[in-house]
Amino acid sequence: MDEGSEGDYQNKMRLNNVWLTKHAYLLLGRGPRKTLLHDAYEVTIFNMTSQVEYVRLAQTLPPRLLRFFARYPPTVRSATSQQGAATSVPTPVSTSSTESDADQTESTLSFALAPSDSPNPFKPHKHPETGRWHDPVFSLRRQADLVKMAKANGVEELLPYTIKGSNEGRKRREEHGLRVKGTGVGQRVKGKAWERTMKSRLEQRKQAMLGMPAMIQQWKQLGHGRGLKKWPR
Amino acid sequence: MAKKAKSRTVAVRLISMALTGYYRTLRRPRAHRPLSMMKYDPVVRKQVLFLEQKRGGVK
Repeated sequence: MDEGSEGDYQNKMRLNNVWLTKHAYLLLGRGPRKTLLHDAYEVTIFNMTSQVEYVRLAQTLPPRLLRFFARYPPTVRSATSQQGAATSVPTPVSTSSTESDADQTESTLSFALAPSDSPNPFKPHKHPETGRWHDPVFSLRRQADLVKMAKANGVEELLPYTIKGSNEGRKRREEHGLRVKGTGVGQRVKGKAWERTMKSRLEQRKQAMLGMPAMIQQWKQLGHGRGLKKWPR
Repeated sequence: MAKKAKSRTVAVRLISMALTGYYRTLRRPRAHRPLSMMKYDPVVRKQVLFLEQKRGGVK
């Protein structure tokens, strides 16, 4: 491998790590939103150990999940739950870019990134001005896909609330049971007619069999039915 | 027009007296007395008394 390609490779890897770092901050909801707007040189002044940690974490996630977290950063709730770890993260310092540059970049990126107080993309949303309802950004099928993916990577709690979450399914099962009618507390399963009458029929049959020897005796005495004036039943 | 002549025999149903719902169908002369016999009932797995079903309705 010659000198030029080696340098290219290292450069590529460095850029890749920078990209991952930026997304990892969004993923964990720790860094300020400005982090995303910082260029590669500013990112390099971060604490190296935490950077490596984030890169390693972000590398384990599938790109689809990373894109989701970049667009919809985890909520404050999930960020505060990891506050202990977040204290070690230093605040990034803006050095190279001027204030006007940053503002411009932010304005151009604002449409691409959903604001942190944006509605849950997994839920239908009522437009505040028009009052019209809009469908969720992600269909139930795609929500389930994301949940499955996040679950496999152990970051399910970072997703916004979704009915496809594993906790929701468990809750529904606890509330409704197996959804077999009549199995709840204080309920009775109706059953089929033959099931409902079975007990009484068996009792009737038992009584008939108990009286059978006497009936046969009488039948024999009366000439095998010749003298039977009144037939039973 | 003359009515069609009745057949000499009738098909009768002999019902198990064990009240299992099991029955046998036999033919007997119309003028004969009602049938009754001891037969095997597979539901109770025993020989029980079978008596002819009472003819109901108009007939």
